[in-house]
Amino acid sequence: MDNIIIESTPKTPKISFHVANGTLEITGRSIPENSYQFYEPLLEWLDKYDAQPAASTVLTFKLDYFNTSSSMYILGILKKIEKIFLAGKQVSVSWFYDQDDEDMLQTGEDLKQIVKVPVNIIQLQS
Amino acid sequence: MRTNIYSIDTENTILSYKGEFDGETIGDLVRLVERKMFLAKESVKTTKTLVNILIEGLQNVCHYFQEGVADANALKECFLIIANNNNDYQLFIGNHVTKIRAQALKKRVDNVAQMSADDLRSVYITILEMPKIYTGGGAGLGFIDMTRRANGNIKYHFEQENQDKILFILEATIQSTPKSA
Repeated sequence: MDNIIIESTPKTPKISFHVANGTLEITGRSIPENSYQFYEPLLEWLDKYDAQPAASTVLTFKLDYFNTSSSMYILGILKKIEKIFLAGKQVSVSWFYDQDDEDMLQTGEDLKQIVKVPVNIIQLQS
Repeated sequence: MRTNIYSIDTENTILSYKGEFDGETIGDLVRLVERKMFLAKESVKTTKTLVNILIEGLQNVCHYFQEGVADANALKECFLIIANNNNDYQLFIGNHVTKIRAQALKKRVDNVAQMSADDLRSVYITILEMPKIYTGGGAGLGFIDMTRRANGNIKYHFEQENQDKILFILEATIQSTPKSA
């Protein structure tokens, strides 16, 4: 199983999924017209990762902007990680938001309410 | 209620565009608006709220045409206007829709308009969790998201153009907030 490293574009975030140490990072803006095309391979990767996850999985979101179609896939990623967590593995999820970005804070709170895995909501200093 | 679009002072207009919206155009318009907000030294909060609603609103229109929802006879020419009025930003996005589409759209946006902030959050979370089975008679996630971000300061107008064609206009007001220290 290979790592996934995708550089950011003006519409899609940087993806760094490392299988060996379990660090999964999504950084930047996620506003693609076709979210399915971008996110489906990531969900497939996570299905494979779920079969043999690292001792500890650390998922980090540092998003700038995202559209609503991305939000469904962001939740999809969280659900995959939740599954690993519920299987008894060590999991940590961090949701970063800019101190002036109340909407990003709100989304973090919304997602936290949906999933059973603990989500740490952390303020970034501008 | 008539849209405020007809009372915009040209001098207050910071951006206007007329034409088709596609992925590339949306990218260009978003970059331009971000640049203008940066040059105007607007706060991160104001910029993010405006840009988020802009992206969602434009992509909504783009999907309408791309997914074949639009009637073949519907004009694909759309417009975008952003104006600064007494320190508030007014955003207008307009596109032509068929009469049948307008009726369905009106039902959706009227439903969103009568929701409280708590209702909006609750429905937003429900749709996120169960997008395929949600049948609450509400609007799609995009309209709910825009209404939440605009703090309720969002209106939708339907202007009859002829017997079969309606001009659908989204009007959002974004309050300019000072930069945090």
